[in-house]
Amino acid sequence: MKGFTTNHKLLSGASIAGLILIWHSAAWLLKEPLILPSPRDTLLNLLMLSGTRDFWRHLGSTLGRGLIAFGLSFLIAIAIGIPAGKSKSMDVLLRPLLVCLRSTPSMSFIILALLWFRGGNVSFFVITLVVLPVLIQNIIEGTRSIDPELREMAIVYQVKKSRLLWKVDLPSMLPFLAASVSSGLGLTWKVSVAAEVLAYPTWGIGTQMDTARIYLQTEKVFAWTIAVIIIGLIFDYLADYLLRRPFAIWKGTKDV
Amino acid sequence: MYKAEGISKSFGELKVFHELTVEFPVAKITAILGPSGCGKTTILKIMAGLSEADEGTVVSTKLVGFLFQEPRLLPWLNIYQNLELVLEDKLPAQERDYAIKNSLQAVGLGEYYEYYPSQLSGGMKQRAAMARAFSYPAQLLLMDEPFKSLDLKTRFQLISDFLRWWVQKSNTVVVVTHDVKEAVWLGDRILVLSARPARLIECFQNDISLEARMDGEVSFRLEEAITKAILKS
Repeated sequence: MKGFTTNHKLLSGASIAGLILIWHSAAWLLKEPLILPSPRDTLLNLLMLSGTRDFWRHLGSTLGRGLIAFGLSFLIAIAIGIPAGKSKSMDVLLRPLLVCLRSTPSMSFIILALLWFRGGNVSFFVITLVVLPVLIQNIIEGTRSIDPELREMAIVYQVKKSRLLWKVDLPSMLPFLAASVSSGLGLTWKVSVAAEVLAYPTWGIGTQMDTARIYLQTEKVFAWTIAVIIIGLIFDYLADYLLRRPFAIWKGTKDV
Repeated sequence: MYKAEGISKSFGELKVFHELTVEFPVAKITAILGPSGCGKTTILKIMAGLSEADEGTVVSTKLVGFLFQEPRLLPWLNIYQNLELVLEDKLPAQERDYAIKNSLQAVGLGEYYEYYPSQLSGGMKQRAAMARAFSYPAQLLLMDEPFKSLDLKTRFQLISDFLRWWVQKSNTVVVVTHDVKEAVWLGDRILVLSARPARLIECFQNDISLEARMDGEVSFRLEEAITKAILKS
């Protein structure tokens, strides 16, 4: 089992190395850093940027807004998703709304938000509307996955409602919650940068990217992109560690 | 005396039983025998308050222990926590701890309380479920074919463990089964029900002592009489 995971790590390392190699070769062949900077220049730029205080402030602002909006959406999704998972009629009522929200281009939300709000508030609004349907869908499915036999056991033994939620329902849903956190956060970073590019809050990665574009600092656009990818990877790993690992232990696929 | 008097229950067009009366004397084990689908489980669910009868009156109690066919343990809680979950607001902390450890001992899982269900065998999981029912402060214990999915040896051991516990506690127990031997091993009274819609065909008194019940030669006659009653229905 251990050899298998090491093998997996090697494989994912190789895929990233391959990607960098292709990028490097393309940059080397093109010799146009304004169009495609080399991985080396990008990395140097990222290192230089990360030495400044402003870099962390921009990063922190985007991160903070993203996390607050995501957290809020998550709470709303739980409040709506659990009842919808339990009641067929509420699900039927909700489904067209979710399809509408999911089919609306993110850009429509951003443009509307630009008309209605200013700066950072645009991000809050857009993230919530884009992430919410994905989260609700996952939570509805998670609620349906709760084992009715376990609930029946808890009910016959008169386990209190609040404890039923914490000890029976939510842990049953954990794999689905993990999936929703993972996909929802991925969307959060994408959408919040897009919103910032247009909304131009004083502090934010999107603002920095667009400024770099205006001054043709392509390597800076790449450097910020790499920074966003790293954020995504870190949070994906955290969600996996916190939410999927305990599940593997319960299922007996991991040693305690 | 706990009882269900004149109860009727239908699922849509399907009439499970009609004006059925079954009685469960206090401090006795009543075994219910009957063909599949005759509503044995439904009777237990009605007694437990999980389901309501369409008609009739039910005399039950507020706290009811229940041993299901499957262990129904929460995979994310260890054995101790699984038992603790159902006791949390029924017993004060110290008493709870004692009840949990005591009942785990009684089923031979004294060393296993930190184990997760996934680390235990099928028989051990059912033992843990039995410990949960034992630790629960209920006067009435309902059991729905709890030994059905176990191999013969484990089944025999679990039934012995159960009877040893019961001798100390003398709870009122209702056990549903469709195994005649099991009914004779366990039941002080054995109710034989007919196929749907279920009627009470016969009620057997089992006067054989607990120790002698598992001896085939002693219980043979009673088993035969019950088998005849079932075949006649």
